[in-house]
Amino acid sequence: MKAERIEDILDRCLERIAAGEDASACLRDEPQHADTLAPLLRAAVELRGWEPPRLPDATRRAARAAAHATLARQSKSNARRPAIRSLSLWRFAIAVAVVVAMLSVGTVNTTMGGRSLPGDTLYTWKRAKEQITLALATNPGQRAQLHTEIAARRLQELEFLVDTGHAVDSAVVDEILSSLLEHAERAIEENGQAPEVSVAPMVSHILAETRKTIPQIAALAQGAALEAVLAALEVEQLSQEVTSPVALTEVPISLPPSNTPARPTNTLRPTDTGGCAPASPPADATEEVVESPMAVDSSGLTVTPTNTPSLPLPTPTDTPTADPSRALPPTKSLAEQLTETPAPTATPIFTFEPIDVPPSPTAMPAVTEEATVGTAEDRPCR
Amino acid sequence: LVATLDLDIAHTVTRAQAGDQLAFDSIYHRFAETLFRYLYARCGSAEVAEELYGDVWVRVVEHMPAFRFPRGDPEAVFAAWLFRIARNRVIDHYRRKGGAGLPLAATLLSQDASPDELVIADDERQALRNAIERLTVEQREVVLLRFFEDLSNAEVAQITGRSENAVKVMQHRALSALAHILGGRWGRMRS
Repeated sequence: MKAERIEDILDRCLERIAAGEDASACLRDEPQHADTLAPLLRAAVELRGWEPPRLPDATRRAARAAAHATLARQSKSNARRPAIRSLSLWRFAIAVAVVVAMLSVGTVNTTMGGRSLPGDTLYTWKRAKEQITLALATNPGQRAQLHTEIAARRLQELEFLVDTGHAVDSAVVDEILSSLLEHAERAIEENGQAPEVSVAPMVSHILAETRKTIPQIAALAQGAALEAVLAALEVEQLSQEVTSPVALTEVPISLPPSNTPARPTNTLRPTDTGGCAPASPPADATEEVVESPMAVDSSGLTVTPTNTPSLPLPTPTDTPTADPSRALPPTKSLAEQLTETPAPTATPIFTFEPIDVPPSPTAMPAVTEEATVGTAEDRPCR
Repeated sequence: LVATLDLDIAHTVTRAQAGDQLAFDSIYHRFAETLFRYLYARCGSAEVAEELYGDVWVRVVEHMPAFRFPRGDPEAVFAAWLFRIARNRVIDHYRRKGGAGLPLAATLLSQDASPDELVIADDERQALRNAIERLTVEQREVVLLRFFEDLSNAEVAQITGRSENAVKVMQHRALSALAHILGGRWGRMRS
């Protein structure tokens, strides 16, 4: 039988002493080791009287202060990263993977331009990416530019639909138009808080192009006429909010004919939010009352086709374009763009001029932004 | 306060991990002296222990967010964690000094040294202190944890990173060394 080690016997005795037994009791039970154990147990008993040096108060206070400072620094650091801290590692990894996937798909979409449309799988990702990008924007200037870019993307989508020439669902058109108008509006709002950027010229351009696209898209969209008209109304209202001094030629809305009989009516007009004088027809009313192929009934809800069988032909006018020197260099005035357009779908009715430009003498008087700075009495009600 | 902490140290530590200063103060209050004694045991010098003390607590705060309670008595587990931080800090301290600062007692104590030469102080308490400071770092560490902090062999083993058997061996050597150092004095007292 293997002899018990002295270390184990000593430990057993120490446990007994710690439990309250006398050292002599242990020595009696281990007579063969008593001589070896006696001085060791005595040393152990004396150790109970050991008084280690105490922590000086100054050191205690200084260490506590240093620890508090570290704790405060850590708390501040944690507060900056609450979302990440609160996520467990695997959740964080999944979140990162999802964001990367979304951004990747978004990149693919971006390269595809306006080809993914509402209803497509990729379109959902594209819109999600837009929302993420907006959420990451840190100031109104960035947001204004992003909203502008997104509005431009919606316009691209509309144009893509037109280019394909296939019939489209009115819900698709409605969704694109709603998004376009929403982002155009928000771009203007954000721009109001960020004077260092100016998205107004671009927004004006997008709205003008949208106006031109609406009749074309309405021709393709089954049952989208009402949405198109309502969108056009919003476009015009929004156009008036854009105060940038860029020449913007409005394009009247003309929608394709249909079989339903209809009453002739006036062309849709921009909403004039200011006061006005009692209606009095201008001397030359050709620009004021235009026969439209599309009409809205008295309720304003039912769109009825007009009896005009074909799209209105472009009418040459001698309306001068805006002063080129006043247009922003990188942006062509819309009048120029219209000139370049091989087959305009409608006759320009009025032109937005810079606010500080006096009305130009025109053969066909245009309703200009000048009117908005005039007195109410000067401005005719429409 | 200490009693409350003893009952629910896991909760207190969790609160401290979330930045609760009061919870941290509870922990500090509970372990301030213990940690200083441990540093003293590892350094063999109250001055060096004071020098390192504040830095050890800063490290405790820095590492606390990563601390998790494994199985076992939460109090012992947390104390073991604190001691490990202190232990590593002392090792760093002496490593930077190239070992020059190691307590003399850790290397010079010889079982053959004359007890009369080693026991300098007449005062019983001072004699014991002198004797303890003559122990090796490892022996002093075990003596402190076993006889002053009343930790079990298993707990000491956890803190020091040794087996329980190794702790028993170290305990035997420490007591043998102390008995050897103090034996001369015991003989003089008898005579």
